[in-house]
Amino acid sequence: MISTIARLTLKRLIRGQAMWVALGIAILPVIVAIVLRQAVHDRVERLAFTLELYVVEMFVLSVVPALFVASSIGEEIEDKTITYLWSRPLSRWHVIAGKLLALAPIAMGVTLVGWLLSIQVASDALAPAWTIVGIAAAALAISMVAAGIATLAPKHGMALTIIYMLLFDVPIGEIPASLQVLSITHQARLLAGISAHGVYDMTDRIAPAITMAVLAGVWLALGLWKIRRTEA
Amino acid sequence: MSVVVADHCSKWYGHVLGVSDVTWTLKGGIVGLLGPNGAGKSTLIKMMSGLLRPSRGSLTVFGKNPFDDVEVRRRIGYAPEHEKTWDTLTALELVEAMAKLAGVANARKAATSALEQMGMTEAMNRRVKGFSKGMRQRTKLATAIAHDPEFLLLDEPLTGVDPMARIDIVEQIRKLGEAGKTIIVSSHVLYEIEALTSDIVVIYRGQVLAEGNVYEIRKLIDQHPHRIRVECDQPRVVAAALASADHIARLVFERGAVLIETRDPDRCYDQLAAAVLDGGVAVSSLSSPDNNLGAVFDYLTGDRR
Repeated sequence: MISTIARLTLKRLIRGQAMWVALGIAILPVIVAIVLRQAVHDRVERLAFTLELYVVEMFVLSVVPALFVASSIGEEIEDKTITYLWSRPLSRWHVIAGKLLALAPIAMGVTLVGWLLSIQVASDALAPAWTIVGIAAAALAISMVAAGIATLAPKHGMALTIIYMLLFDVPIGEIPASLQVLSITHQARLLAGISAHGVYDMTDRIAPAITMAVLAGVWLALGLWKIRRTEA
Repeated sequence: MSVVVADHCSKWYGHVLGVSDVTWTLKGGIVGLLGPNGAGKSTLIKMMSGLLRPSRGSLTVFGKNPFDDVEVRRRIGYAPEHEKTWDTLTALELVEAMAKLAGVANARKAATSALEQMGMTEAMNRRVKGFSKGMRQRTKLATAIAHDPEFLLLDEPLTGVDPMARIDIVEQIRKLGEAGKTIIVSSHVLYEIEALTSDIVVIYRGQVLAEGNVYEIRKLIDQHPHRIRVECDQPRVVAAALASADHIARLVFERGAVLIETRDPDRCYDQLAAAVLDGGVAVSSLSSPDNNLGAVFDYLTGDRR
């Protein structure tokens, strides 16, 4: 059931416009990297700009999963096409699981492509492995957040997810206070080991990974709780 | 075993009433669910398909609550009223996916067969995006029947369909009924339902007003004066020719028309034809407001308003 919904979702995604829009957004860090390359000629100096590239990547992370996951779930409920799915012999969480199964990897892939290319362009090197893990984990977590928000508020699911990310998650992640623990993008940065001085070796990657999972899990649980009660 | 049992079933959307205290049992066959727009037909159908749950009372399908019981929905086929569907898919992809989700082993074969049955053989590999309203209706019906359910819920399946397609769809629904399916077809147009079945349930303002044979409902209409509206160039000539007839209850002049109320429609139509011919009247339109379901509701609900 879940795989059928995932295939259906993928087919619709490929034939729609969201993929192209997302790819357009995902190349933003690459554009910044190209500008950086033109402005700074010393390769070692450019490596220190990893944090700046990550800041751009946070914008991509805030938008791309919302574009895929929140819009897919929100439109399904708002357009009432969800009635086709809910009138079938499947549990409602199957729909969310199917959508995430199809769209979260795409969101991860699209954001990672932008990240890998931007690091490559900026430093003529492969992105450090943990930055890949951090960004992939963030894309997955934000996809779960998007699924939760879109289920709670389908009409404006995508917009609310982007607003939540850009006006709450990203800013509080930058505040040097205990509140920043609630930021997925901050946890992703810790997991990736990105600092103002470049990429460093984190000793504790378990805590940010668990925190990120909990934050995403809470949103997803809220969505699943809501969808059980939602009527079409 | 009854297919549907509604026991004091009510549904509210906030403060808006959808269905009010419906107690009703459906044994089988093709049943027409009749009511004007906003009467509660779609709400009742959605409760039967498991999309809504009653606010009060209970509604079961095959003895199970379709909102909570996943398995009972395998026995139900639902074609929604709304037109929205996954437009970027082809009809075959859409119906196949729906069949798969209903647990059909060979979904492609089942989808092809359902689309062929609905007269979509030529168009099944085209995207739904470019479909006419009639083709969309046929595709929706195919999604409802592809998994061979025992109970079909068809919400306004004939709305917006051209006359030829209407005949074809009616024929297909009748065949499904003859094959032993229990079918509920909703409509706000009486003649659409009359073409399908004589068993109807009349719903109005969320309540079941009447159920039974459509002809019995018709008799209710016949007990009341029948209205005929004649749009013509000389309404007064027509009125003068009919005024003295004993079956005429009332004549009302409207702009470019006369509304006749008669207790004997057959005699009235004969005399009307004679009056038109004798008076050289040019008739631009002849209609009977009583030929729509609204008149039935007016009669049935006259004392409730």
